[in-house]
Amino acid sequence: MRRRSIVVKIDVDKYLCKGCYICVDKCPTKVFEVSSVIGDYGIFLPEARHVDRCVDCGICELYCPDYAITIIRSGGNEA
Amino acid sequence: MNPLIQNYLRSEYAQGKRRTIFCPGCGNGIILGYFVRAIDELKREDGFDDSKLYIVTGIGCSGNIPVPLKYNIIRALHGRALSVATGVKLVRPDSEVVVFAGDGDLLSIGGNHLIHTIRRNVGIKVILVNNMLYGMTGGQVAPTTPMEAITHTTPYGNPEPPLDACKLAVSLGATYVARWVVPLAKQCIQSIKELLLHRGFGLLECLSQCPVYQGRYVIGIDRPSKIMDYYLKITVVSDKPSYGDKITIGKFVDYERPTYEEIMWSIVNKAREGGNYEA
Ligand SMILES: Cc1ncc(C[n+]2csc(CCOP(=O)(O)OP(=O)(O)O)c2C)c(N)n1
Ligand code: SF4
Ligand code: SF4
Ligand code: SF4
Ligand SMILES: [Mg+2]
Repeated sequence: MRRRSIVVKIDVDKYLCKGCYICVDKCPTKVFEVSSVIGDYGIFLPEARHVDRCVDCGICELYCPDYAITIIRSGGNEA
Repeated sequence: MNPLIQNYLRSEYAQGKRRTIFCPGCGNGIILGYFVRAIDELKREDGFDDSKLYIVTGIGCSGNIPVPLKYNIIRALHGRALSVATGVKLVRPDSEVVVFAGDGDLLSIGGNHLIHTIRRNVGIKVILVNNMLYGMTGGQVAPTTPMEAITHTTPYGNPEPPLDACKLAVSLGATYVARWVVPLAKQCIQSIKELLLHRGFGLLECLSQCPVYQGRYVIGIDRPSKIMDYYLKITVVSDKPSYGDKITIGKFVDYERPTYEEIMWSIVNKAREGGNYEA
């Protein structure tokens, strides 16, 4: 059986992100928005502003071409 | 940095001192992630031994895909990845040899090697990244560029019909042939796993986006996610390869026949037995 875990945070690495916005466009529940924070490549970083809407599909992590995204979960060990 | 990927990176990359050379939103980075996940899943499910992995690359942006990984990597000459990989496989038949090559590398300058590697059924696994042109050198026409498409070397439209790598491979007797497309993550990862476990020659063609050249010129869309959507529109699942207005994707063949390294080693062993040969 799959244990239920909750996504508490989605981290975007500001050194790795190249600002392609695949995560912004492809998240099925529109968790990401383009922020006004500038990353290392001089792009506006995406920010997971609506983590409460995240359905933990993993698409953002899978599609990010620069392994910049980490989904941080909690409660993974509870039933 | 994503910790799963970080586990598989060479130290400079894992420590964040180096980054991939790809443009923003390039499919090459996504394929790198799929490859790592396929290996990670295989290691957990089947006890896959990645210490036997040798990766040989062609030249081009897609040849750079495995460069950040902490595996044995050989960067061959342009178009010659398969010849180098054949050498590795013959000398170390129990190794797992994977080739990363672009459509230009594998099908134009390296087309000859592709034909004979398939014919011999050398047990190497090829991941062909098809972005429909030469990305690294500035977006020139490739054998995979659709007819009439605009590229830097076909400003009035491509006069040549494209080549279907999968159809070619099937006709030459390749023992595993599949084509998938970058937006289909599950299928791509599953196919890489099948490829790694396959005995004999295997080809996985992965349709991938090059936003800066293919996106802007061939397709006319430069937003990476929109090119991914476009790919889903022009592809259709089938059990037969076809590469026209609609491109078919799916697994086309999967069977076994004696491999080149098995045949070669049986000859070597026979010669040794018969001729009092000392190894
Ligand atoms: C012998 C030789 N000829 C030409 C080149 C120039 N060159 C480098 S990459 C490339 C084409 C790469 O296209 P492809 O294989 O499709 O890879 P992509 O960059 O699109 O991933 C060419 C022609 C070279 N490096 N060596
Ligand atoms: S997909 Fe990755 S590289 Fe692209 S914008 Fe999102 S975090 Fe940045
Ligand atoms: S895991 Fe899925 S739902 Fe959650 S942020 Fe990523 S893409 Fe959106
Ligand atoms: S030129 Fe095209 S294929 Fe090469 S890294 Fe840039 S987007 Fe990717
Ligand atoms: Mg190419």
